[in-house]
Amino acid sequence: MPSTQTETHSLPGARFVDPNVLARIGNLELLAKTVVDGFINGLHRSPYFGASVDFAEHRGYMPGDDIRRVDWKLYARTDRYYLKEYEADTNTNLSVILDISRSMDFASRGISKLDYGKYLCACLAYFAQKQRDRIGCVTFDSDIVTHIPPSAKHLDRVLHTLDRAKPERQGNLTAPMKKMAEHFGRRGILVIVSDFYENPETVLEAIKPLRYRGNDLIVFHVLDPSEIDFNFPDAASFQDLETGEQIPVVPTALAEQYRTLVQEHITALSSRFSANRVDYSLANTSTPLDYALFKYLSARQRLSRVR
Amino acid sequence: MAFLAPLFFAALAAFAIPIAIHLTQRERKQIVEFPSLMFLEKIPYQSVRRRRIRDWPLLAMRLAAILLVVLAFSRPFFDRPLSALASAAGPREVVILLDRSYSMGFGDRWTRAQAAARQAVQGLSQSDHATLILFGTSAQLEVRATADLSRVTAAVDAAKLSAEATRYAPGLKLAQRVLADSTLQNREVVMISDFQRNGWVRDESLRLPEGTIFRPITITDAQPANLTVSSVLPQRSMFSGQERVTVAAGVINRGPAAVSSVQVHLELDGRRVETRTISVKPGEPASVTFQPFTLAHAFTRGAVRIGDDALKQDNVFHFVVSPAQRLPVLILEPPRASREASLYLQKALSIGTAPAFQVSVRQGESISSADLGRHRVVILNDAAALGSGEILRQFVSQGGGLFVVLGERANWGTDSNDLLPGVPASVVDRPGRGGSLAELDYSHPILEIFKAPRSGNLSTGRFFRYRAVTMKADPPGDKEGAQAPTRRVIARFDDGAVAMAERRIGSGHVVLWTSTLDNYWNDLALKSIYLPFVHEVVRHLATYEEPANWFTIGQVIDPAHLLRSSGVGLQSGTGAMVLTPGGQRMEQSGTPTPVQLEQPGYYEVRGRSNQSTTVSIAANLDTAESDLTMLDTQELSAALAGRPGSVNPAASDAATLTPEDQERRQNFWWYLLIAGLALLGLETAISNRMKGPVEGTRITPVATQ
Repeated sequence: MPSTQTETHSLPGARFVDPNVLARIGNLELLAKTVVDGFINGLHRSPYFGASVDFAEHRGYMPGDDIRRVDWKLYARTDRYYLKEYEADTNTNLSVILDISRSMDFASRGISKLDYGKYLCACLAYFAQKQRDRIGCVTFDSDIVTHIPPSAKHLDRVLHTLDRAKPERQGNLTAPMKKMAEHFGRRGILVIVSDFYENPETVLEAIKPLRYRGNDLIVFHVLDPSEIDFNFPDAASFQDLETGEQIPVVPTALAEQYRTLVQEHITALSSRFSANRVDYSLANTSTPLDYALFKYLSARQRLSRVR
Repeated sequence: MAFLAPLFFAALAAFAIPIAIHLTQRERKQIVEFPSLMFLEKIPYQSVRRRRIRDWPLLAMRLAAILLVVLAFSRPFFDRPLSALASAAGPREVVILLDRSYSMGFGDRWTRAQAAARQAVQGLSQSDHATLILFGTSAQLEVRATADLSRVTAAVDAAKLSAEATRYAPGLKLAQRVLADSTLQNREVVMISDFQRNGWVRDESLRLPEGTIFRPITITDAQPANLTVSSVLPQRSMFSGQERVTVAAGVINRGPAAVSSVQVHLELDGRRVETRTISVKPGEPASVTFQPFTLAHAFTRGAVRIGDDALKQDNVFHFVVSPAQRLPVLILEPPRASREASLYLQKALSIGTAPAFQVSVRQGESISSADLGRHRVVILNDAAALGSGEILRQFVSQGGGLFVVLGERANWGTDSNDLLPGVPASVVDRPGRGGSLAELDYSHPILEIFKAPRSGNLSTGRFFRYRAVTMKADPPGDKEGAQAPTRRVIARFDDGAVAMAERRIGSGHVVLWTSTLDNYWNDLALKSIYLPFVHEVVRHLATYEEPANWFTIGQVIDPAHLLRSSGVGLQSGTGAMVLTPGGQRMEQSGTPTPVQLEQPGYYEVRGRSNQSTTVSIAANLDTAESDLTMLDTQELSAALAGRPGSVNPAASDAATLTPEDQERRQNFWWYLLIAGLALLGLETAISNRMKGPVEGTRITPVATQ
């Protein structure tokens, strides 16, 4: 929407790129590089404490601790055993989980939700690659379509997989998420990109298994502006992209109630994700990608400080 | 306003199309692909809004356009523009024909007819002339060509139903005359009637003047039910020396439904003597026969009556029965006549029931007035009553009958001038096979019944001798012969001689037979035709008529004849009195004049000189009037206009319209069509402008199929 664009472009200090412009770049890597280069670097921290040059804190010695990590200087001053702990800048696993169900193939403007999701995943993967993280990718609809395990060398495969992803089937969260939970054996960061056309409770129940192994979940709720504003002018038959069902609708009469329902849905998702310590971001396809990254990284940084 | 093609109104069902369109909220076939209908399906369905009609002005415009187009195709035309034109062109001569036959008494028809007549009068302007004619069997001009419409209205109010049947011709002829005499150019006939088919007999000479508007106003009921006593048949029989009468009555159900358990009553002299119950199918007759009753006295008044229905007038049938009377006949023979002289004559007259004859025979040359007073017919069988000429003449002139038979001894001489049609002369012999009757005047009442083939042949008789008769002409200045000859030859022999001649004197007749009535001069008495011949002669001379048990309204009765045929003497100049069923006394002095029967019931006729004897007769309605089957007024209109099929009863005045007038009255549809098309064009323009976001709501998938 013009008003939204004006608003986003006016954010100070950020060089945002319109997704419609990005859509002209056929190469996902180039696209991701375009977005990520020049963006802030090094905000990404490992969720593990470990060997690092950045001191984090002291803690009392506990039997079993490695005596090499005892801070002898502090022992000299206090006559007590303390261990030095450092912020671990270790590599982590980043898996992008992209919903490629047919509902994602909606575009009221130049770019569809699926493309937007692809760009977002590509940018995150590229960004993670820069961080020397291992990158994995999962695409799903009602089942897992492709699964690329996280690896430091999988950027190309990830980008290629994203590039080839096509919406073909109906979407369903519960079954594929349950399968994914079994695949992710090591803790990492899981980024889920979907439009979440499910009941908020169902969504949460579907995603919960991913958190059982201590994964950090970041959720991007991708929606088209028309899905939020519902500003269709004429009465028409609305056809469900996934089921093919049609309903004759006079939008002007329903818009207000629709907007209310969508906002309630977004609010419900947001509150439930927050309650379950899942990062939730609403990604409007009319907003620039780097804005979404910025928003994500800001939140990530905030979370890292909290930890 | 009326419509030539009202069936096109069925096209008004097209109203449903724009209404449905406006109810379904401009549904379009555009399909929008949407990620998920999850939220849309959660929004509750609002059926009320779906049914609400939107864009009322556009809908009204579309409906109006359809209405105008349908009206145009229905071809509207105006009923009264011609009247308006006529009023504008000048005053009108309007003849209102109001049917007052007794069938108009069905239910409230008469009230409605009077109201219609008043309405017709109110529709006239002050410059118009109105005529009111009441008609039944006859027509009566109540108010003639007056501009004083209040008089006409008052006459309509004062009009009463009659007991007459319906006949359209008299009223229409009267209207024809009134219109022909009128100096006004615009003429109109308004006929208010129930238009019974029985009342119309096509009359080619009955034409309304050119340019006359004929407007029938039908006063009728849907499927009228009517039960009628159509006839009564009294059958006589003898039982123990007394005459008994068995009454059989006919009842007709004119209605569309069967009628059961109808009580039919027989009344005698005002007293109900028997009741029978019958059932009658629709449109069929039924008969009921009552137990015989003994005739106690003359002029027994009877009536057959059924229960009430919408038309009460035809529910009763009156009749009068009297014991059969013998016709007194006197045979006068010459003195010392043989016993066989009147043998054949007596034998012939002794046979007969209708009438029966009471024969008395006398011999002599003269006859007294007392003898004549007791007899209706006198037969001078070869006798010349020379001494009683004047008495006989008076007897004949008062209605008596004289049969003069010429034989050898009847020597009338010149005295026959005053009585006989001719002068008897000498005897003529016909030797050999004799002569025969050759020239017969079958138009005469005596010979009329022999006219038809195989009805009797008078030529079979052989005549060997007869008297020559020289017919005489009516003397100049004779009042009776001024209108029609009083003398007439009824039959001639094959040689041209007169065989039978008649002379009318007053109200009686003298018949002269120039041969004998025995088997001496001829052998006619041996032929089978002899008996009916003699009977017919005597019946004619006695002016005998079968006594009528009833008369029909509208018939004319002759009181003098009634009294005479009933055996009541009526002296010349004494007059008679007639008492109607309504109690009205009609005194007639001098020679009674005929009276027309106008009321159903019993009339009484009395001779004023003999008040003790009263003749009763019954008068009944014309039962044909009970048939309420309607006439097609188009047929009547076409017959009156002289152009069959050119008159439409619904707009009968169109018959006299010029093509320009007819076109002027019907061209309204052009304007309607143009207005409708213009509205459709305007609607198209407006609806195109109104394209764009419209207020609406969701509709069900079913509605889109």
